[in-house]
Order: sequence, then C-alpha cells, then structure tokens
Amino acid sequence: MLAAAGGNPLRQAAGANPSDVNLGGVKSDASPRWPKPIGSPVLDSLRPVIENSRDVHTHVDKIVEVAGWMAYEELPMPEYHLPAGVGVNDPNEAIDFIMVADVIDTAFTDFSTHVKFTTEYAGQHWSDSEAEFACLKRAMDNGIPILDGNFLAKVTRQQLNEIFSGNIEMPMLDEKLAVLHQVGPVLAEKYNGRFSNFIRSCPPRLYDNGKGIIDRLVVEFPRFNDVSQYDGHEIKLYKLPQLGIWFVYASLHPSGKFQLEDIGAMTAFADYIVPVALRLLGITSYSPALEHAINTYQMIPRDSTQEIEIRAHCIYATALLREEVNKIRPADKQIIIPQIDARLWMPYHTTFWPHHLTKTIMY
Amino acid sequence: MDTSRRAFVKALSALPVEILTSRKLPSSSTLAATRRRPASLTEIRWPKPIGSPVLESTRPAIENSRDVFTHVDRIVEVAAWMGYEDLAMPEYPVPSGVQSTAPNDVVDLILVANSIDTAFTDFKTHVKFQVDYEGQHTSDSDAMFACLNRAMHNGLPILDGRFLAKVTRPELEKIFAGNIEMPMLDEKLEVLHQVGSVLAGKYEGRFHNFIKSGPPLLYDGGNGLVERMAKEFPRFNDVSPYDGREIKFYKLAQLGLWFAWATYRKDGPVQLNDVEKMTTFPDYIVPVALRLLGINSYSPELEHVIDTYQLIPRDSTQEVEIRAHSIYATALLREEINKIRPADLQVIIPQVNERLWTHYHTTFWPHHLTKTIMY
Repeated sequence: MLAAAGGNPLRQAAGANPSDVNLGGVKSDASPRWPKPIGSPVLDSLRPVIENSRDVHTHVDKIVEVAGWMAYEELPMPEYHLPAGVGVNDPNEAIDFIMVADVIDTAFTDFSTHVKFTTEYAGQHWSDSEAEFACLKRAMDNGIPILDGNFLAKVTRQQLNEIFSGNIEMPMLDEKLAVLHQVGPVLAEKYNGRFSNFIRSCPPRLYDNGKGIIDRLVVEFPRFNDVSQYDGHEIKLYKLPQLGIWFVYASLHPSGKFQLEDIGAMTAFADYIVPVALRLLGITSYSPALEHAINTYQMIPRDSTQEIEIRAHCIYATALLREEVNKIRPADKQIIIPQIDARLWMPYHTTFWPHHLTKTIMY
Repeated sequence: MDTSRRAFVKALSALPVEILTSRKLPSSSTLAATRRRPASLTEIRWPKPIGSPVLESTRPAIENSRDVFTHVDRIVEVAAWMGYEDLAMPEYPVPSGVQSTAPNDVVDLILVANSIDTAFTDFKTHVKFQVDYEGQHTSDSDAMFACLNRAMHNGLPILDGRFLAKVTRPELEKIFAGNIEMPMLDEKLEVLHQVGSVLAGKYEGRFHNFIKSGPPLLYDGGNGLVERMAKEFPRFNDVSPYDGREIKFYKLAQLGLWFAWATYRKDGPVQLNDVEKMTTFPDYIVPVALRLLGINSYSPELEHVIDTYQLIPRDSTQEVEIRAHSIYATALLREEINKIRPADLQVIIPQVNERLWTHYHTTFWPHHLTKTIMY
C-alpha cells in the first residue's frame, strides 16, 4: 500500500471529518517543516518516518489554523492527583507509586470483548488507569509491599490477579506480570528495591549523553525501550518513560520537591488518544486503507509502518502545534509540549470515535 | 435609518474579503478566505425550537445584524471535532468553605451570590478583585464567595433578605474587604436592597422559599422560575430593545438556576423538569470563544472597539448583537453536535456553554466591555 505522494489529503473516508476546509496544498513529502530542536532524541529520531509516510499525513496549514484559536485558551500545567494519602509526607513514596503504576500502564480494555477494567475502592467506582491506581492503593492499604522491587520480582500470577480484582481479569495480566518480574529484580539488585533511589541516582535531566533519567530508564529497564524500526532507522517513541517522569514532575515540582533542567525536551506521549484528537481536528489525515482498518476495529500490528506513522506524526504534529501556539502567546504564557498533550488528551480520552488498536506493553 | 444601515451592511459584505480580514485575525487567513459570507438574510437557518422564549426572542437581532455574523458552515466544521469530546454534564461542588452544607442554605448562597455576580474587574484600572481568606488566595467570583463565607463565619445573616434589604454601604464595604473596593459596589448594594426586600416581603427572606413556591419549571406560561425571577426581581429582567423588539437574555436568572440545579440535580432543592430549555449564558467570555473559533465574526468597526478596550454601551445594537449571536450560535452548535453523538450522549446547551467558557475564561484575548449589572 504505497502512497499519497503529495497533494491528495485523502480524507474522504471520514464521514464526520471537517472536510470543507481548504487544505491548500499539502507540502511535498521531501521537505516537511521541522520544529526547532528542543533537545529531544525522540523528536529528532522521527524524521525518516515523517519524510516517507505512506498512510499518515500532517497538515501544517491546519496546525496554524488550530493554533489560531487554541493559543488563547488557558492551557494550564496539568494537575495530577494520587490516591488519597499516597506520598503525602514522603515524595519518594510518590515517585515509587507513580513509577510502579507507570510500568504496567498498558491496555485496560479487553481486546476481544472491549470491556473496560473497573473496580470499587473507598466507596467509589474507578475505571481504566484510575482503576489501576485504586488497586495499587488498595494493595498498600492491605499491607502488600507493591512499591518494593523485591516483592515485584517474585509476585505470582495469583497474587497479581487478587491485587487487580475488578469486573474482569485485568487485561494483559500475563504481560503485566512479566514486566513486573523484569523491573522488580533490577530495582532489587541495584536500587534497594525502589524507583526513587534510581531517580535520585540520576542527574536532574531527562537526557544527558546517556546519563539522563530517560536515557537510563530505557537502557536499564528494557520494558521502557519503546523504539521501532522504520525503513532501517530506529525510531524512538519513549511513551511510558516520558509519561512516568512527567507525572512525577507535575506532582512534585510545584511544591519544589523535584527538579528537571530540561523539562522542555518532553514530547507528547504517543498513545491511542492523542492521535484521535489530531485526526478529528484535521491536523493529521489517514489513507483510506488505514482509516478503514481503524474504523472497523482491526488490530494494527506493533512495529508496522502504520503504527509507527500514527505515533511519529503524533509527536511531530504536537511539536509544531506547540511552536505555533507559542508564537501567539506572550512571553510569560509560553508552554511546553506536554501542555498540548494534556489539552488534546483530556476532552477525548472518553471519546466514542474509534482509536487504533495495537496490542503492546509500550502504551 | 434602519434600511440605510442594513444597506450599508449588505454593501460591506460585498467588499473583497481581504479588506475584512486584513486585521489581526486569530483564525487563519486561509480559513477566513475560504469561508463563505453569511447566508443572505432571507435564508438564515434557525435552530429547532427548544421551548425557550430567550432563543425565540433573538431572531430580529440575528436577521438584522449590522456588526456580528454567525457562520453556520463553521459551526458544522467545529461540531465535527467538538462532538467527539467528553462534554460531560458539569458537576459543581458545593462552594468551598461554606458555613452550612444544608442544601437549602447552599442554594440560598448560590442565588444570593448570583444576584451580584457582575463585574469583578475595575473598569478603569483593569485590576481584579482579590481576597485572601483562610489561607486561600482567590479572585473574581471565587473571591466574592470567599467574602460571603467570611461574612457568615462572622455571624452576618447574608442569606436573609431582611438583612440584605437594609445592609449599608459601609457594611458591604467591610463584607467585601479585599485588594480594591469591590467593583460596582454601589450597583451591587442597590441590587441587594431590591432582592432583599422582595425576599423579605414574600418569601420569609430566603431564595429557597421562592423556589418552592412555584412549579419546578423554567417556563410555565408566566409561572416558571425564570419568568418569575424576571418579573418579581427587576434586576433579573435582562432584556434589551432592538429595532423596537424586546430581546430576552435572562443571563443571571438562567445561570443561578443552572448552578443551583447542577450542584444537586435529582436530589436537590431546585428541580428543573425542563432544563433542556436553558440557553447559553451570554456574558463576556462565550462570545470570545465563538469569535476565536471563527463561528462569529465582527465588523471591522466592532473589532476595533473591542481590541482597543472601548466601552460598548449597554443596550447598544453592538452589545445586543454580541449576546444574541452567543445564544443563537450555541443553539446551532449544540444541534450539530447532537447529530454526531449517539442517543445516550446527547447534550443540552449549557454543556456547550461550559465547554466554551472553561477553555477561555482566563484568555488574554480582549473581550467586549460593557458596564451592566446583567452579567
């Protein structure tokens, strides 16, 4: 299924698409506009995908248009809330909790039945990743040392099934178990069992010639090495390592308990939802073949060119959108990419528009 | 006069689009250039009736607008992505720090606060009213709530119309002690005297008694809650003349009831069996959202007035048009959004209002300035 060399935006397959906007000529694939460098190896790695995309296209003129109204929104730094009591007197506990949750923050919807994982905790009903958080907090309340790598290294399937008791068996339970068995021993052997010790052993940077927090997460914990091969190039996406550290930063930085010198190097967190937002806003468009695959809920294989293109364009387009938004905003209201990510994710994470389906532990 | 102004507008709409879009336009010029001009006056699309006298009354202002235009094609375009957003029914928490969480007291607080929910920014200095209370820094209407809570904790019966009817200016100054004198303090004083007297005279001093004294409906042939608020409390009679017609807005009457209802919904003291008749709450912010999204556009004259922070007089055609188009455009936007959404996710207009307001209420884009107690 080769492709769309140039002008045809190929958007007719989407019934509800805002299709009457003149896209005014998609740029030739040979010379896409590139965002100014932000010091992100993730963003820098995408170029081969953006330049050679078969099924996903980014419309820079549409980015300029959307920025024309989005820039005047508040676009706050998102506030995340940990379950009540977690890390209140101990920022290291907050780090441990966030990172343990992050390593298994993968699909919460059963791929066959499309039923979402939900659970009851503290008199409330929780679903998706909030349900995961609730289960982990419930385990802590019951004295299970789920923040300790020594425990995670040896947790049994049966124990994990009990920790995640809910309406259905936790989706991808075996994969989550395998991840914990991989992460747990590393924490146990090198970091006294705790993610906070790992993070405190790094310089306060995401990237630092191999010594930054993200640099080391992807090397020391292979489950975080979220990369794909595309036309012989390695494309870095790093969704969960970035998201985990962003969550830690957003939770602890406002009270001065966590610093990062290069927070501006964060990209979007390439998942299922942000691509939907970009697609609905007309910033990206898909080939009819890809559009059909998504709309009919077909699985898109991990590491396929379609999957890589969806995710790469998500990171590329949000970087450009942030650039255009900042052109309009005054100096004291400049934003970083995760603020765009949050702005796109929030209103669409419950959307009934279909997102792509890929079975993976990477997002 | 009227015909000549309309002729002028028609002539204006025939100008090359470059002239109309030569000013700084937030929506890209690409978009503006491809957008069709407003439909001719005879073929204005009207939303399906929702049983709202407000929406119905805005028609003359939409059909004869000089300075504000609604672009239906752009509404369809925006609905095509906004329709897939969550657009949840807002759940308002009980205002924080209240002295009593008894639902009747909370409803009274909401409705007393709503009656003076007007400008909190000084029109000359552009400084916002702010208050520090119980370790919290608040501004705008949050600061007003903090002041009312502070007054109650100090034993002042501010939910009681008998107190409000006679509150003095020095007392009110003290209640609203903050970084600056509460903007429009004299107007707020007058409103409280009026509202307090009616509550004291007919409802044992309390708004919840007013609510209970009629059917749980917004509109009911004159006996609905909005109708009675506009009739019994003149400060809620938010109407404007336009070409000899009366245009109804009822911003604060609708907003107060919406807040009171949405705080408790089925279980609360305020029941609204016809809540779907609510329109948007035409204020300063919703017009900005519609303008930035390209759903509304303004004449160059009006654009200039707003961008240079000139006051737009209350009841001027410009002010009436800005507000009427907010009501009209959000009604159409809701209609287009519902075309896309499944039956169990249909929305009512206040959900669209909430979506537009929350994204833009802190915007640095200038909004129109009108000195009024109506919003």
